Amino acid sequence: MNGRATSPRTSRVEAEDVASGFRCGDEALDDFFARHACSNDEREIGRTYVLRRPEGAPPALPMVLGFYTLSMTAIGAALVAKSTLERLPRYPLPAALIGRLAADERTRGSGLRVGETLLFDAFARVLVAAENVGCFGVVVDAKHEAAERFYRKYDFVTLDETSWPRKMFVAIATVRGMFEQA
Amino acid sequence: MRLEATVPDSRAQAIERLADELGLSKSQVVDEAVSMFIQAVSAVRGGRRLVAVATDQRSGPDCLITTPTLVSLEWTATSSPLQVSSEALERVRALVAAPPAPGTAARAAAARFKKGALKPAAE
Repeated sequence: MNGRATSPRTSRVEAEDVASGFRCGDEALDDFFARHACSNDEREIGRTYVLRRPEGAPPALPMVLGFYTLSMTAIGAALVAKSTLERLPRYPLPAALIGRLAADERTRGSGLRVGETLLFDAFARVLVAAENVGCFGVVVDAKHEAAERFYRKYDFVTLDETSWPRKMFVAIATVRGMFEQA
Repeated sequence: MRLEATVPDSRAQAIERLADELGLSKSQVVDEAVSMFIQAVSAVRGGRRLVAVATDQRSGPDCLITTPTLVSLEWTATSSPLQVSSEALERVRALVAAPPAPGTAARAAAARFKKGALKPAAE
């Protein structure tokens, strides 16, 4: 699949997005967006992409419908038992990390599927990146059960069920297959 | 040196239109475009951020020049480690070695995305 076949609909966060009054109902995510999204982007810590209200959409919808952050990560084992070490790759596995993903609470019930659009927009960006850099898959942090159900619907597998947030993973080939078989 | 490249029809038409409008040859248009792309890649690799050129803070940026490759170069420029348990790492390895076929819901969602469920698009 050519990742360019699915153009992203998001743009990089700008100061006016931050000042637009985004609220998703999760205090930590709202605080991140208001205080850190722009500065993290400028300091190269992580990219934040926003989905803005399309032209012609009801003005009651917020200017920023949702956002997500993307960065690269390298998955490695924290504690590897000697017996399993030989069966595991000896180098960290590069992957894309969707650190945060949130839709404004005013989009709920709008039928716009903002969360789904954000996730597949991120997938589209990751597929383009995977043409240029090593990337075995996509990792997300599911902060609660509803989030875990959301990601599971789109083929993410929970890696560790012992603590929150849950790390979840989907292989890049599976993501590619979603678009190829759509 | 002569190079051949395959580009979408729309891009080829845009090159012809630009060459006609600007009084340039198609080779000059392509050469200038590639030159700009090389500069942008070099800047991103050097840790610089590609920014819009703003002449008036109130009216926002005049333009933002980027491409899918440049965008991916930007966010993939840095990487942070993620440590998981050995069992979790083994699960990742298994998913990578034998990636599951995408499920019905994911394929349907991808189809909606490709059709542009949020049309008119934000960009």
